[in-house]
Amino acid sequence: MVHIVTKANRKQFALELYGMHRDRKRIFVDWLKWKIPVTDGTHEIDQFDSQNAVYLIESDGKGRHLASIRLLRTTRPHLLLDVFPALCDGPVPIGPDIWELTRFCVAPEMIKSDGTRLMNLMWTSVVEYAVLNGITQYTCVTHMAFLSQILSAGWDTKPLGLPQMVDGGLIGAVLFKISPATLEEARSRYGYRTSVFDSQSEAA
Amino acid sequence: MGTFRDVQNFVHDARSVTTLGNLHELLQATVQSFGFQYYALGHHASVAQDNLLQIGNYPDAWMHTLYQREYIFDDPVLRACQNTAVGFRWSEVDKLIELSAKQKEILACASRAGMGEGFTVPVHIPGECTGSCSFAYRVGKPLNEAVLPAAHCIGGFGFEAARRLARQTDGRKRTLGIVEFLTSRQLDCVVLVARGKSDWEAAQILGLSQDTVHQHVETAKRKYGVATRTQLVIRALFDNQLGFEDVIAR
Repeated sequence: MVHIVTKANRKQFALELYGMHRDRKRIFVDWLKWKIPVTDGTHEIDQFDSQNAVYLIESDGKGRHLASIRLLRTTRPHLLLDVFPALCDGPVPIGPDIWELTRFCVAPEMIKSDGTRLMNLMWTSVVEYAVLNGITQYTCVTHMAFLSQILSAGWDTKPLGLPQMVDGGLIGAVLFKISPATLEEARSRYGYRTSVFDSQSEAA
Repeated sequence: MGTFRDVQNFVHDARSVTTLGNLHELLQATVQSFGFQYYALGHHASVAQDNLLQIGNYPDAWMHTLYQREYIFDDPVLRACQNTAVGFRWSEVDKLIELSAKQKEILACASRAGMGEGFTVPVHIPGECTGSCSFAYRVGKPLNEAVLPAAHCIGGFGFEAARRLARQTDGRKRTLGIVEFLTSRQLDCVVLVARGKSDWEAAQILGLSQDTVHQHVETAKRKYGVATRTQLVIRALFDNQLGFEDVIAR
């Protein structure tokens, strides 16, 4: 069951958040070698991991982080606007119905055995969250190595600008359009008949 | 050439094509407007199975050689794709893998067929066999670095357009090259087959009966829907269940 973690219920999910930051460090810093801040040598946390962030976290029901993604409102500070505006050919898309997706992470030990299922589950949760909250578009800054994987979700996607070299990696920005039809398609493709969220999670 | 507007136009047009033939026309026109002559997009294991994705305009002479001589196991570009998820130039393949004499010969062969410098965008989608989108110049034409970011986008969005069209045909599982996970025993047998061992030799090595080995291999072939052992090895290779080091020993 995917949990929706916001500033209202963060304390309840402290264990999952702890695991998420630790796994983010293992994936983004240790494996992908991104130059992003690490706290205590074990946790990857940046300036956007604030009270404003919403996290969708899949756990094992006992506090263990399995997969997660971070959602940020584009009407507040976020990666594309504050760090990578040059990735957009025109103005950075901003609006109350536009959010940003970042830090999509699967726990390293789960990748081989369950990576595909977890990835598909997170894509579905992101789409369901959008439909529940009136979000019609997501922006996303991605390393080009993940472009094919992201596009394989099958959403209405367009590039926002040409990718650029940043710290030795080719980074690009894309925009996804989400609608109730996107949710139907995701559920049908991945076999989810009902909500993927746990019944206690509130829509933010 | 290679501007963001070019990418936007391609992405827009690729969404509305309804056949692989139309996608091919669009890709060919786009890559040629970027200065490339040739392109190839598809699953690497398409050499083994007709129903996997494969479109492009590589010279016939080169395609003939590739299929005829089982270069699939030695193609350095395909090998390099296993090691990276980011686009790379063919002239830099030696930075990604150590080139054997056979692999150097393949590069020379491609050159003799008229293909010069190239750029390949690997495609790694979890649960599917590996693929790529490659662009190549005519021999002698230098690489224009300025078009590479746009080429990377064309590769990614182009491959997804092809997958979308493949999904619409029958037998989605087959056309998308969905990974068929082999049991560890089946894999043990396939590895030995890849190394050129007979069922009898494999049986000796694994401590099984020859009949059991035969059954494992036949089951694996059925899982993939292939007719020959070579095709089976190719699929397992590009599904990452087998490593190149297992087939190099052939």
